[in-house]
Amino acid sequence: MRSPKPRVGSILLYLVLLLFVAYTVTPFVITWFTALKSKGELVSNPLGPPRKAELPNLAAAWKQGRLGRYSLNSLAVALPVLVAASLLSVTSAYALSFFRLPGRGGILSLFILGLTLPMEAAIIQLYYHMKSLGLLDTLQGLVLAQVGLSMPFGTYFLFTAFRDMPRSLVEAAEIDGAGTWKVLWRILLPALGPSLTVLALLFFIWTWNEFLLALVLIGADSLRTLPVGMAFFQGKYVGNAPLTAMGATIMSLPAIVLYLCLQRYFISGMTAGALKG
Amino acid sequence: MKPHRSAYDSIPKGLAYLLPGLAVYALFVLVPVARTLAFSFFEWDGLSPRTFVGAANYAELLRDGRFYGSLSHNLALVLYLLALPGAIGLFLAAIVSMKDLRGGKFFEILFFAPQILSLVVVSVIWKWIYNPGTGLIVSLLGSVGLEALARPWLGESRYALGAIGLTGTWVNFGFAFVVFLSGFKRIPDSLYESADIDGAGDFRKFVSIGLPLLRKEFGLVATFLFISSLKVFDLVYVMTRGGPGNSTEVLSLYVFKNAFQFNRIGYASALAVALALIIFALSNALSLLARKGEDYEIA
Repeated sequence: MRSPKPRVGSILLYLVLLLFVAYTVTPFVITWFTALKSKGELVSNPLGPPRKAELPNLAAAWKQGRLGRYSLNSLAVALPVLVAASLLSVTSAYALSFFRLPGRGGILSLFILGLTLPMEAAIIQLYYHMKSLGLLDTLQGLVLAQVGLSMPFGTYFLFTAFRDMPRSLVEAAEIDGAGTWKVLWRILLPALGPSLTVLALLFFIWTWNEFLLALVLIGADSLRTLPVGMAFFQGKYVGNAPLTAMGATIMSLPAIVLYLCLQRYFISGMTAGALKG
Repeated sequence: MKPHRSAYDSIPKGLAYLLPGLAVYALFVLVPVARTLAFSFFEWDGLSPRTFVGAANYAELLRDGRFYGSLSHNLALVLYLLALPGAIGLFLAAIVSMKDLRGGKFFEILFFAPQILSLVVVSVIWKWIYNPGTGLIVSLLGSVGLEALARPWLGESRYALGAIGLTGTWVNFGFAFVVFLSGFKRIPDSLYESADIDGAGDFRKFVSIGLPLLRKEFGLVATFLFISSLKVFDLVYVMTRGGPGNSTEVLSLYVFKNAFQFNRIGYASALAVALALIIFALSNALSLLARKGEDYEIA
């Protein structure tokens, strides 16, 4: 394995890898190129970089395409979900890992059950449920549903993290007179390390990208989140490839920048998050 | 004998921590799921009073050609969303780790990137790549004089499902790559070195050392990507809405159409229950496989 190999072999393998690099990168790059072309240039120059950046595309997608509005709505959903779902996952996981509650095994399985449930099993009745609560077509309703759907993964994820901690940590703090709230905030959460960051990041990106729930629970255009807005947007501007590409760029660039800054958390979290399915 | 009564024995305190999260989960997930199950035994259009029909919805489902059609499309997508990306990911991870190539981290970050995109964005991008007028594929074909090969890939029932599937391949192979690469890293070099002494070739080493030790990773990739093939919705909804005809309709989309377009809530509920049961059964079977693999783990 470590013995020197013929160089030719390695170069060939790098070429194979580069082929897949091109496969991954081309759709991104060609979208960014197209976003900055005029419709006329796209015909004469479909593949190359734009000769002159057509900046009005940005304003058109942001204003007429209403992507600015959709972005604000998406933030107004994703940030509260991130905070509420993280907080509630911490408290339920804390209760299930450290307190001597009767029937906690059963409650834990109830959360684990939620890991494999497809959204379709909840969404139909969620629609009528929200309607009867007067929460249909509101961002609050969307937030509440997202928090509920985030609980199984969050609780299970933190339960396993808490389970790996030594109990003596808690016992020692209790003898020192710390209450359960103080133990949680002063001792356990700092000892969790990056797990909580990873979880918050996952909640954010899952909510930011979520489509079906927002499609069903939100009807008014002015309340649409980015993915739903984008789906309608591309239908409306179906003949205008540069504008659609600009929309895709506006939606993907923030996610890519965030990913490049925090890629270690994303990769470890999302492979662990695969459990959620 | 306990020195003092611990606060962690207090049931009210424990409940105070547990209940807020459990309540939101129960109210917005468990109750709707239970109601879906109940409504699968009714006929209901969403407005008029519902009528109890027993197992009639399930009986209809078993006779419904469109249900089997959707299920078969989901299963065909397993090829594109699991088998193909799994094979690519395994192959690339094997050459990077067994050949000790540099840049593993770089390839990991790059290949994984499509995973973080919204599938709506992915669909929009690939819809344009397949566009028969100005799309990337037709332009590439045109630049080498082969534009005659271009087809409206998403508009012909012969190609549409495959075109959607290959979009999923692009998204998923990086996931498989990352998981398999971390699996290869667990394998100690000493195992390969002893195989070197035995004169085993790279392929032999891959088959007889690499593969058996990667069972856990196989389980993870198979479970995650299989479930994602069964749950797929966004890609199909944005790229084709199930068309042309019903040639790309999948189960989740068929549930959605029954519930929100045909106003057949009872039947949609029965379909949703069937989908949940299929996913539940398969993911349990696959995670059993994965757990078995842990026996092989090296401490």
